[in-house]
Amino acid sequence: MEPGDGPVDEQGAGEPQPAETDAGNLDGTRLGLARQLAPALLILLAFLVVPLLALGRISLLPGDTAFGATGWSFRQYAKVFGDLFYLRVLAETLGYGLVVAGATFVLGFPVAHSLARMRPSARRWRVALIILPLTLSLVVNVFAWLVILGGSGLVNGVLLAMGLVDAPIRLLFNRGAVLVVLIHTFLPFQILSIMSVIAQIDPRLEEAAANLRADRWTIFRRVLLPMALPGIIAGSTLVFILTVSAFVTPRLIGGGRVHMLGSLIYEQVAVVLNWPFGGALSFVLLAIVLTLLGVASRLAGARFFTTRS
Amino acid sequence: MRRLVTLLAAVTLLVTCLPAFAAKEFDGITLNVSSFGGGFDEVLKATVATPLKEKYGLTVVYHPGTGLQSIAKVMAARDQPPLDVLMIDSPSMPTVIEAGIVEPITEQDVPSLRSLHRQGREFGAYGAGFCFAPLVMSYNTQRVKTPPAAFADLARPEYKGRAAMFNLENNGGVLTLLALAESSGGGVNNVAPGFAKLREIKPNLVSTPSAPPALAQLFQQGEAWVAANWLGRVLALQADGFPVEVVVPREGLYAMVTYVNVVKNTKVRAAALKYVEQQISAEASLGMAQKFFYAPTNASVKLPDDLARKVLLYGDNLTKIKVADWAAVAKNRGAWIEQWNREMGQ
Repeated sequence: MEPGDGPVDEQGAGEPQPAETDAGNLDGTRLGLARQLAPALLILLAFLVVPLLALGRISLLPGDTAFGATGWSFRQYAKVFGDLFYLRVLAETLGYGLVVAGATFVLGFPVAHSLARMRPSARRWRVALIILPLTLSLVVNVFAWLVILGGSGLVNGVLLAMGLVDAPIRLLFNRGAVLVVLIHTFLPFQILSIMSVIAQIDPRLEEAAANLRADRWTIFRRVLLPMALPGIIAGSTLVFILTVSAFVTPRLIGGGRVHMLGSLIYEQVAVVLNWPFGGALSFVLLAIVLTLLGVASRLAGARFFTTRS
Repeated sequence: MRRLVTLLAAVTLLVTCLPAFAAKEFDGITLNVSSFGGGFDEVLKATVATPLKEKYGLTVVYHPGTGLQSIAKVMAARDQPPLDVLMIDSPSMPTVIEAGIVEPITEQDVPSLRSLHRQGREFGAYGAGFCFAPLVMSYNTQRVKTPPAAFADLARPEYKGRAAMFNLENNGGVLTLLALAESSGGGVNNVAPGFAKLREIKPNLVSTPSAPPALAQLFQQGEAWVAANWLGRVLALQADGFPVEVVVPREGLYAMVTYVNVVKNTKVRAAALKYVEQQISAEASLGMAQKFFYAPTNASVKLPDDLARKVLLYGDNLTKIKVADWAAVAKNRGAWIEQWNREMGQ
């Protein structure tokens, strides 16, 4: 019997083993892993990769329709990049992504920190409270905001009652309203991902820093922030992606004035039925998001390991 | 005990077989019809499906969905269409005619077609329009001092920040644009004058939703005081007790017709034609008018006076109907939406 043939666990853990054995075991785990992943991968392949490839093909059609069309062309992409309007919408969409990710970080970090430092029993129902809005349909959420921010809505009612305004002010149908609703909608994702990372940071590190006369800002900056960075980057990336792909919120809250790439894609695909152009817009968005995702995960990984070592 | 069971079985058998003895024309035949769901289907069931069952033994099954979904269902299986009758609005008609998934219907096939207003047959031999609904101007009677008289009045300075209209995703938005274009010298193939007017209206617009409930909400919350809206939607607001009034716009009554079509390759063509006949009958037309204030396309339908006033497209008002060239709309819509996005954004 060759040394590498036996099961891993029964070999002496401390004994040095030949290189081939290591490789053999690695292959074994890989095979097991592949087997476990196979169902999920098959579903992804059938329902994500294949449709994506089909959409990619459609985006390379030369005409305005995908039905019965043939030929290859980069015309749709040339239209996206050659037109100031679409570039501006693209820039605006990415800008919203950054603003919403940043704002949810600022608003969410204190909440995430306080939750992470609570006893699990106290934390449980508070976390449920944060998750609760996610169980609502986005459309319901948006219509609720239409009611809250409306001319005869809650906010205007309070402002009037306090005598701060004389007549209801227009709070809806502008960029600010779209941002407020997007921030509110995606805040839970940021809180949950930061919370899960802070929960793993030993509270004694903060106490030790305080003991060394660091004030709270310094503790945040030099202890918490570096260690929580992977969670912050994960949460911000998630929020960024959700924001740049939003289309219901800008359509309903923006009153037709606020353009985001998602709503233009929806319009091309579902209303104009110009799938080639809608496909090209989708792929441009996908490429940008994937690039940012790659950069973010590299950043998170790098920082994570440097702070650990 | 056993005898009782046998007796019961015999009686049950007899009862279930009885209708078969009465042998009606379409006994045992099922007709699949696309529809729009909700209250619309309830009216259809009561005024179309039930009479067909009683008269001919025909079983009608409704398949609710949007027009586009129904078209897609038929396109996906042209040889074995899952639907026998396709119910869609005017804007989708050019698509199904071009795709060749519906059959022409002649007056020999469906005698009642002779009674239809010409506006109920916008597409020649294709489709039988069974009701139509116009786009109107509407205003909040408590807030607005001088009521609007035309779509173009949306641009009046006194409505600043209080005007609303559909965007071009909704057919109502398309009709508003057409009305603005045609009344200022343009047309379906030259909407530039329409867009010029829209630029004047733009500072007044509070929002340009695509969905009717969103436009209704603008009114209910007091955000919008004047709007170009579908007649049925305005009357629904009125029925809820909201102070809103309908104005017949000076540009004319731009209307959208709802059609039934016989699907090509259907296995039950004769039954489908019977369905079309019943759908444009007085019985069904009256049901639609009473429930939704959709006007009958069938000229032989007599409406009571109060109902006739409400549905607008009746009697003398029929001369004000503007017929849109939906084939040209379908061709141009993409470009219009693109121009709208560029010009109407912030």
